[in-house]
Amino acid sequence: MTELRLRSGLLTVFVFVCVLYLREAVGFRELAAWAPLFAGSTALLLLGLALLRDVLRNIRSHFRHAVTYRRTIEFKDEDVITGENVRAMWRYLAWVLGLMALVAALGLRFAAPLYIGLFLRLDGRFPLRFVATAIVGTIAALWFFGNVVGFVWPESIFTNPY
Amino acid sequence: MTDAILGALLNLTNPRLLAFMMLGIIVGLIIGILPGLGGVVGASLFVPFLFGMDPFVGMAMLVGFAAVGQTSDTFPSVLLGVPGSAGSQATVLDGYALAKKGEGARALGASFSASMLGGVFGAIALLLVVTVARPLIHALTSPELFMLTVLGLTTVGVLVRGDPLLGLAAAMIGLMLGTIGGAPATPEYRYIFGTLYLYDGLPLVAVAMGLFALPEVMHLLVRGLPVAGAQEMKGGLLQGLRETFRHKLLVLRSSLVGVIVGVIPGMGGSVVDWMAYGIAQQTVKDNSNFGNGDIRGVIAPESANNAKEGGTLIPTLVLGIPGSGTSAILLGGMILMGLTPGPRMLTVHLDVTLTVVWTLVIANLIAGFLCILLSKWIAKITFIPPQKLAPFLLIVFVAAAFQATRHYGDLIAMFIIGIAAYFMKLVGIPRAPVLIGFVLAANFERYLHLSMSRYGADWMRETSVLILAALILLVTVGGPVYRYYQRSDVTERLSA
Repeated sequence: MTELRLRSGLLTVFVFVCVLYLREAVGFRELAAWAPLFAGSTALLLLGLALLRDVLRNIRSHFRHAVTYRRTIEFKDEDVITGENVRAMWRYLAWVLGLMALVAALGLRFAAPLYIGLFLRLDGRFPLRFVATAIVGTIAALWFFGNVVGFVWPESIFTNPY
Repeated sequence: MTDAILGALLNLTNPRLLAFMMLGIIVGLIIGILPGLGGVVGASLFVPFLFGMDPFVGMAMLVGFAAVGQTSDTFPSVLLGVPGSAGSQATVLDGYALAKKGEGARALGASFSASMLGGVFGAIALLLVVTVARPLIHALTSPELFMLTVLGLTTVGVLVRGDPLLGLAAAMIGLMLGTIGGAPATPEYRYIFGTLYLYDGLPLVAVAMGLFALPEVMHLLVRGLPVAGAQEMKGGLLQGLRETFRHKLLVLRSSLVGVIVGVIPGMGGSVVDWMAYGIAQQTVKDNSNFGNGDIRGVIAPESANNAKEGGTLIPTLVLGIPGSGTSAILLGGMILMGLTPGPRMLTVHLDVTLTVVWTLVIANLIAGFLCILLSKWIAKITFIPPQKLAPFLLIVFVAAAFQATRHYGDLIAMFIIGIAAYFMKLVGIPRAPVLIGFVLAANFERYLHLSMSRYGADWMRETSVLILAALILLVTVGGPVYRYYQRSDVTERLSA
């Protein structure tokens, strides 16, 4: 049950965050502390219970080779984690991180066409003609929304950090 | 009064007014289609052009815009699983499930017709309620508003099928995120880690896009298949349209929920769809397919979120209290055009108010028809390979998130929340309650502070508060207990 172990791990992280959150909240003035103390302590209690339940299920599944755990509305069979999925997950996390890095380095105006081109060519392996059309379309859309509609694009942090 | 209503309808024959209303509708539809670009971002685009504008024309443009965003935001919700705006989160659950079965067109047909009917219902409600709304709104004090906020938070226990524990925990995580930044009652800045960016808290756009947009695109890419796994599009627009009319009572009920939630200032669009969805889930005959592609799970939130626009305009026009972010901008626009929101809107500017009502009706009808006309083509998005779609979506997300405060912090926040939300999606921790908690955090804190400072602890003994507390208890405990027995019954029947 990889999902169950991963969930236990994530719940542990959340519990840890709650503890840190509450530690900070204790130092606030009374009026500012009410909501954080309520939210933090309730979250800690609920997450702690959920974690405990998952740990017990983990133990039960280990010894009895069977586990029944209720799935939430968002959890579907297709989300089952496999080795192949994990590799793809890391690859696309890197692509998302790459986009952030590219935007920070070049600004969205230059990063967007470059990213579209690289992604479509390297990951999607689409023909050059399609990639070129996509890049031109992206540049046109950026120009339209930037100059006609008045949207502001993130600039390179090397030229304008804020 | 009848003369005034007919006179306001005649105002809409003014070609200039019609042209600006169409402009508002078209911009609203485009903004609605783009995930994450909610009504606030779009409405703010109009503000610079409003100064000195004819109030009839300006209001027609603004209301035309505000009325239709909730119609076209269904496209990304159904086709991509990414809420087009805060008000279409609940539509994702069943709309996206239908799209994955290749029934995107059916979901869209039902959604647009429900939106159209809901919008018209909202306009009629605005017309009927506008004269009696004041006492109702004045009757709500901070303790009741606080309890309503808590009720909004606890309904997640009902919404998250199978695991209310995780649902409530997720809502609390959202509440925690919402407490970042300045405290409303005292000069204290919390969890800002020395950065100026966090002084005003996390922007809703970055949080919403991080919770839904990034994880969905990641999921699409990792899965490597188009949104619609099926090879051909089953079901059609007409089928969806017919289903909406077949479930007319559900449309009526959900629209009523939309209007009521809209009237309550601050409850807003992020909650209404979930409330309508939850009520539909609990009240329909066989709800076993909810969350897996039940058309009623699309009809209910879509009727409610369009009807809500009429309800939201009641406190905005009559009391000058904006019910949502978009209506706050509408309020600013009215002042720019020389109108004074408040009781004068029912006397001196009654003609403008009635024009707003007609604009709501006509804008909803036009938007519904336009979306129905276009949906057959736009529904084909579901069959595009993710590798072709994802890079463009990622760029749109980055661009949209940045419009919130135009700070790199928006992108960092979206990225960090997005990664956490992706793992939450993987392991089945619901993300929707996080957003509800985040949205309601400001109200939670504001009304709690107002109640405590004004009434001490006495407010907890008020009858209205006790009734609401009982309702909250019923929702939190009764919902899961009822479901537990329902599930036990099913298990027994299966094993028999």
